[in-house]
Amino acid sequence: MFFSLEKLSEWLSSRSPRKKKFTLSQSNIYIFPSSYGFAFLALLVVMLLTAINYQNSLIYLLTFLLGTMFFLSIWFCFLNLSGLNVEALEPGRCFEGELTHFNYRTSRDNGLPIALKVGLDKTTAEPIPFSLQQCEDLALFTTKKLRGRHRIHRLYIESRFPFGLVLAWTWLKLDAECWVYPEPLFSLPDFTAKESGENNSKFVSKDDLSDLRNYQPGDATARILWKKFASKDTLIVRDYDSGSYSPEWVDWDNYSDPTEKRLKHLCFDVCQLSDGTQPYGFNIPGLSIEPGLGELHKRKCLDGLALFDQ
Amino acid sequence: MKANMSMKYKVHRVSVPVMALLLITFLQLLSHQDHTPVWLSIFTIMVCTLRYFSHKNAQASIPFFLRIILVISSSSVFFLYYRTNFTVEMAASFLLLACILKLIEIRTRKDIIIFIYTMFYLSSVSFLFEQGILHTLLQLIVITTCLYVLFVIQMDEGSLKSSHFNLLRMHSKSMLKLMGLALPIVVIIFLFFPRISPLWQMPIKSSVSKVGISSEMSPGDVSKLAKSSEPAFRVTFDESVPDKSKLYWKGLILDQFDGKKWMQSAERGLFFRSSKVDTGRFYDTQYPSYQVMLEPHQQKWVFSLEGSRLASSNVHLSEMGLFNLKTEAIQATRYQMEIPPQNEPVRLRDIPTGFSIMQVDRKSGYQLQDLQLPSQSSNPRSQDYIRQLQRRFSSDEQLLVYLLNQFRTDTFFYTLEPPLLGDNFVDEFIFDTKAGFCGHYAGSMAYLLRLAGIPARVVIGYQGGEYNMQSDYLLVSQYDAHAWVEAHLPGRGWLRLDPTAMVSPLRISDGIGGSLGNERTFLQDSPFASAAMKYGALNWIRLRLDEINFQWQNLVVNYNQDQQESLIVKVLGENSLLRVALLFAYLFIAFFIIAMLYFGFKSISGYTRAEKKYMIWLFVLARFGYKRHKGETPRLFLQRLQMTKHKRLANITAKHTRQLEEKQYRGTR
Repeated sequence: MFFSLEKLSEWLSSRSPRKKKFTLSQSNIYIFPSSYGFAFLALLVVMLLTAINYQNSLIYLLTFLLGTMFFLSIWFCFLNLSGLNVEALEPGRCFEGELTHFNYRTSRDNGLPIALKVGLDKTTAEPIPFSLQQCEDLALFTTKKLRGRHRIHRLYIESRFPFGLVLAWTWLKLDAECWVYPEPLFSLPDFTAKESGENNSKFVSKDDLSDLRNYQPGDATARILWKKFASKDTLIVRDYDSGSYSPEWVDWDNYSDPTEKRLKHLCFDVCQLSDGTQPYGFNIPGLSIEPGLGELHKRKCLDGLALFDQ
Repeated sequence: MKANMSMKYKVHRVSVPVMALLLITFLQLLSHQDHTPVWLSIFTIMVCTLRYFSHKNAQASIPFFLRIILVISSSSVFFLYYRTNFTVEMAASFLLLACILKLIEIRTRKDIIIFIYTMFYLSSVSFLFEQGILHTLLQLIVITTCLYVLFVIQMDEGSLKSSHFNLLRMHSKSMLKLMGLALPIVVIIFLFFPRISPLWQMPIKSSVSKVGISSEMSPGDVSKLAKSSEPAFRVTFDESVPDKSKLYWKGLILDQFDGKKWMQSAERGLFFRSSKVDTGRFYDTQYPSYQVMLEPHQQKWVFSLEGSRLASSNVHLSEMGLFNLKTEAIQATRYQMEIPPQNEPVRLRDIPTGFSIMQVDRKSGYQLQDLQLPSQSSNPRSQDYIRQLQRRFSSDEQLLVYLLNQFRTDTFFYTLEPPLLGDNFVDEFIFDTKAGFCGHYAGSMAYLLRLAGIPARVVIGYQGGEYNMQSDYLLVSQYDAHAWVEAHLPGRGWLRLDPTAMVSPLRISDGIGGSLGNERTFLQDSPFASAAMKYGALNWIRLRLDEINFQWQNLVVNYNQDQQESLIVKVLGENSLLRVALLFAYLFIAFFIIAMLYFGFKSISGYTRAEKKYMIWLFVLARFGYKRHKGETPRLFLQRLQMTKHKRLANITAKHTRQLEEKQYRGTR
């Protein structure tokens, strides 16, 4: 067949490459009368017929006024979208079971973006609240999704400004992402699953006193072992830097559940450990991360979980 | 970070701009109240009040049972009131009722849009009834509010953050911008959009009563019109305005007398049946001509001077020197007449107030109708009186002159407030009260002549008018209404006689204000005009206002095919559709280019306005062969330009460069 849908969509996608930032202009804005616009045009025809058949100048005048409004609203509608910058921000992050969200920013150099609707497609597009600021950081929430790295297929933006008679819209292949992590699920560690204790120091006895020392001014309070303080009445801190301390590991082999469930447990561990004060390592088949602490470390681990086997 | 949620099932609820909708309804009712029944006004106000309170108490809608009651009651009243006779008034009432019922249950965006669209159409329907400048301004407010509502419901979902006042200001600004942009375009389209003839016949409305002469005259009728200062029509003359005493604007002939009332013996003009509206094409005239701009009086009859010949396409000759419009005057209508010198009425020396007039014969049934008399028993004294006179005078002419002179020599009295008359009104008037208005005189005179066997009939129309020097037109108002007599004498043909002029010569020379200005009932219904008659400054204002109205009718309301053609010939040189199409194409392209330049450069992102201006200038310079090299700063480029022989270009570039630098580096926007 000469004309095929595949070819068409190929051509369409070649016309609109995936980008981090878009500026709307005549090359990516489509414009057409809305259904109310067509009803309005029909009304204008009826009014024109009335004017002709009654030879009434003032009805002519009214018809032309409304017709000009329609004509101008094509311009205003286009201009409302034109010049709008849409930029993908850093990926959204959530867990399975939560709504995925994509972060983006709208801005324009002059004027305000007014009466915009944004969504993944026509039917679900929702108005975005606009303020009197020219730049707006927004998040587009969509349905719940399974773990992994999700991208927007296309971002749909429409505007019916100013009278709802004309619809201007655009499809943007915006490079906005959302990472969906496995749902954190608590479970008791499965000791039988341990094959070797080599890498597994999570359950190293906490009574190992080799890296304990007395409190010195300047030590973080979080490192104080309060239990010791209760029993011995001396402030003792755990010293990570001593080198003798072996960090905890979030390890694939800690659990023996099926893959997805196991990922959920690992996710729970990562979340919990990242709230604590100890560095932790991360090890799953295909990815091993040295022990560390902090938001970036946690994100790396979670990213690993999200992308496992994908 | 703000969120917008995407959910499968959402309800398109908008905050309904209730107050704006109520305002629209109220204004629309105001402009339609002349031709809609009273119960509809009451109903509207009721619903508006209900809606207002439910809005105030934050209730979304009126209770269900109440809505049902309102819908059923109003629609049944509507059908009982109108039954099945379809008129334009009924259509207007129907649309208004539909809007009001919609107002009761308006909730969604769709409801609002249907309401607004109906209002748009209702606005255009209102222009079928009324085309005055004030009415147009009122409708402009309605239309603007309607557009504002459409505008607001487009915005309101997204406007959670900003304050109400800021929004209102912003919206109004955008709206005004739109309207301002639209105005020149609308004017051009209005002037040049081809006006075509009506495609099919439309129902013309019937029952609207307007102030003006009617096809029946009982003695007091004409004097009622003296209370009103509303304009009847305005006339421009090609040549100088004739003397006041010649301005007898003949409107209708009443030739049937039933003892009380004079009326038309038959509906005239039935032989011409086409109800397609014709706005009138003026023919070329050979003789002195005049153009009448008739106020819409909803009737077919028009007013013309004696001896006129028609000179426009929307009027046709009826009979007895009368003319009719092809369709009822539902809007200000202009027609043209010319008077060939040989047709002009000729003053008669031997008959006071008498003029001999031409071309007023009937098409058929000659004279019998002009001798018709009511039953024998009425007015016995008049019958005796005429019999006496017939014995005394040998000729009809002598009798006629005697009768006319009687009105002057006897103690007749011209007044707007005549005593009430009984069944034999001619008897009582002639022999007892002897006080009356022109209707009394003309009616009695025609009756007496008929008793004497002289064919006679009553003519009603207007006499005189007020000349507006500034704009060179004659304003004829309702209080200029007049009645006179036409009689036929063998050998002399038809004569025009004015018994009123015998009683009160001032009525003809000074107008009614001169002869009766001090009577209480004169202009009773028009206090402003009445005051204006007394104070010169007010009258000056009154005349200026009338001028504005006349210009409005001339330039806008009556802008038709004929005028469009002459305008096109004037502007484009030749009247052809192709040229008009080309004009529109050029204008469209011009608009496109201007808009592109204005908005297009604005929308190139990443450049400030000053930079864009500079870039446009660079583009111009490139046409002269001077191109800025890559990496060359504006300053360097300017210096290079200043080396060349193009000093003018360099100077302009210097100005642009300075502006650019000021805008860019001063740090203020």
